[in-house]
Amino acid sequence: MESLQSIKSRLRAVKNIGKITKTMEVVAATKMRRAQEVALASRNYSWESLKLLLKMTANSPKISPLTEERKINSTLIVVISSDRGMAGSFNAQIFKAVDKFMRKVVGGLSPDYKFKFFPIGKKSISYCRKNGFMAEDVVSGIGDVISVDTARTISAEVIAGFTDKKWDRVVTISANFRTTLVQDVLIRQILPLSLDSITETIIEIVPEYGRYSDVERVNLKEMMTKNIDYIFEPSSDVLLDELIPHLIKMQFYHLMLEANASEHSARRVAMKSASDNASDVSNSLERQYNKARQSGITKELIEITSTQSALQ
Amino acid sequence: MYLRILSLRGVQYEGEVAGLSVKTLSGEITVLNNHRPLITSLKKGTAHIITSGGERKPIEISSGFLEKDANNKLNLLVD
Repeated sequence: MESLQSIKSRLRAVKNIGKITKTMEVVAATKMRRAQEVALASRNYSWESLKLLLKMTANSPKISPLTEERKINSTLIVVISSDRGMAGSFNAQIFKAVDKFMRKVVGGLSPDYKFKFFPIGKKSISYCRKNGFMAEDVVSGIGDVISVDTARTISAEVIAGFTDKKWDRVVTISANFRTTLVQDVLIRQILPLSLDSITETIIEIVPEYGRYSDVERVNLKEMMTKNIDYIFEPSSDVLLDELIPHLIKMQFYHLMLEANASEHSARRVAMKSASDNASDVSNSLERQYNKARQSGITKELIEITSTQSALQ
Repeated sequence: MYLRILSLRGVQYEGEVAGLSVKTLSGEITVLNNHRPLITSLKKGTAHIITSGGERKPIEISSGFLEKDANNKLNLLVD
């Protein structure tokens, strides 16, 4: 049987870990609530702005260079992960999706096809480094207060690279918040703007159930098929130049909010199960410790009584 | 006319209105019931919501976009 000393030190270690995970759980729970609130509040806005983008793309007499579909020789993959770990399989899930996406695209393509990377979050930066992917630019330390300015820098760079033909397609791979327990990984095409990809994104934002679910889906179909004779003021050129970058910026912003809400939810759940495990382990260790102590006492008693009977 | 003003912090205003005057890049306009479909960019300033009772409610806008669709719905996306 293990010695009393070693059981005791293990017990102490497990209890300490339990305390830490418990604290992290509480912190994550607070952050989660706030992040979820922000993400859900911005959903309406991002949903309407995507619809506006859809209408602009469908009805504008002028075509924005950002909708141009050309032969795809390189794809920019924007990977949005968290800065810190200890969030269960949150980041691993995203990277698995990246691997899968690349495998799927590579099949049947020319050898000079290139992937370019734009990792957001420290974990995805180290993922890119580990796999030898060259990162175009990196953003980290967004933290819990995501500013629109960060989204502006990211979207400006992504758009500039697209117009300069550094890449012919931009996709984002990030977590989408559904509930505290469920986050899925979504792959979204940001550029070139196409009616199909915007529609898909809207559908993903629209609640799957609840009072808006059917209504919006029907409206969407209507929107795709019906041409509305809009007046564009001051002119469609000016609006396209202003509106489309703005809407792409908002899309990035919204994606980061969703990712943040998902991260904290994942961490909360992971830390909850870690503290549960810690208390299980410490219970069984405590039992082991008591057993060892008891058997030690019994042994000593036997020794005392047997010496005594030998002396008589 | 149904008006919805949305910002990143959520829905700022939602309801039936008679009209809305707002500053746009090409000057101040008032959108009334059954206005033609319109998409325009907003300028910093105070917009006024005109309720069906004729009251004018001010609302501050820094920038954003306005969209009037064919179903008599007015959407404002503001920052």
